Amino acid sequence: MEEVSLLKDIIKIYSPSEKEKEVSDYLFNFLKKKGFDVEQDKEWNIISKLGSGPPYILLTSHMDTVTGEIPFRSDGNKIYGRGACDAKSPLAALLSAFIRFKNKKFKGTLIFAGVTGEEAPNSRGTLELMRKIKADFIFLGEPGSVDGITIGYKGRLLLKLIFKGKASHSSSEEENPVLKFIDFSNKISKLYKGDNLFESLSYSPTSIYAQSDSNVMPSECRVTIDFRVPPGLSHQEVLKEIKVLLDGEIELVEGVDGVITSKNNILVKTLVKIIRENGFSPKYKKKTGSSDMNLLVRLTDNIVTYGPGDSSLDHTDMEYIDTDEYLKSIDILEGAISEILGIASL
Amino acid sequence: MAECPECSCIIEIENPEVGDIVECSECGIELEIISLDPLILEIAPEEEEDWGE
Repeated sequence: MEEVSLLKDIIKIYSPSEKEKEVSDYLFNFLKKKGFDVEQDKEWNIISKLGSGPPYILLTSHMDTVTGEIPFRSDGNKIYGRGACDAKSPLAALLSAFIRFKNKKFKGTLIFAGVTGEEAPNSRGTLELMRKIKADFIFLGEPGSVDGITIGYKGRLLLKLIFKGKASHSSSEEENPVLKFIDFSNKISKLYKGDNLFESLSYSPTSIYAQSDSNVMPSECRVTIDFRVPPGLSHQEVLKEIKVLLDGEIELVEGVDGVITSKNNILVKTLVKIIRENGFSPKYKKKTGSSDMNLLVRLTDNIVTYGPGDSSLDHTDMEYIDTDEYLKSIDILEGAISEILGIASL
Repeated sequence: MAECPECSCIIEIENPEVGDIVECSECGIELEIISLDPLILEIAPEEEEDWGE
């Protein structure tokens, strides 16, 4: 089956961030051979369009993966390999659904975009895409299972901090930068606590460096902290609060706000309906990570994330996708896009 | 007006649309509008917290 072959082919191409050229070339040639107009831009994004005029419906997912190659293998319905889950099966599902519209008549523009750089800070592919396209409705492809509708992601604030001290005898009264960090940590970890993890500011130091002889205070303590910020709380507000509490230097590496789409949004309601029509019980998902949805929402509030795969396998060595789930998700996407085209054209 | 399937209280809904999610004013549970005439509510799809991406 061609839709499964496409999936297998792109999983076989190892494509960590910054090394997406081969998979980008593959998709460019794949679409060209099928007779689609296709563009490969300077960030190696692949963009193809069907139809013309409004409404503009964007189907997008990322072609890059995290690093760490996993040998490709296929075992019955299961396909193993880096990106099988995050996000080559959602990417192939969106592309397959897009291809099914080639010979259909509809009013509007369907845009497929395979983007680069999602797994690296600052999503260079999506930012470039956003500079050149319009979108009234967006289906973002990320794993969430065939029956899952991801309506929200937390924002992110990635900071590098430096706590300064003075290299001095460890028995002296000089300020120890490690203790300064611990004091800061105790204060910051109590901020913005909600009823659950999604609604709370999460605080995760991901590297700490301070070194000296055993009887000498270190002169500085360098810390990287990955904050995940709930929707409704701006990362700028958190940054302001941190600056008040911080006795040290600060470098902003990445800052993006959280996103939440209403359960009453037309895309969400449509997916609920189509998932049921395909025999599944829909579930809403709110994710404590972040994705390109956090950026794409700047184009339109009509945005939802959907795709096959178990997101608990994201970035692990156990990534796989079940082809039955993958194929079903293409049917669901085709149904949802048809419904939106119908509704939006009224 | 419709009955909450969870706590049986009567809920008033302005401009109902099929598929909309509303919250029971009494017990706080989320409900989905299944039909308009008659107005019928069912417990809304479940919500999960997940991680990833």
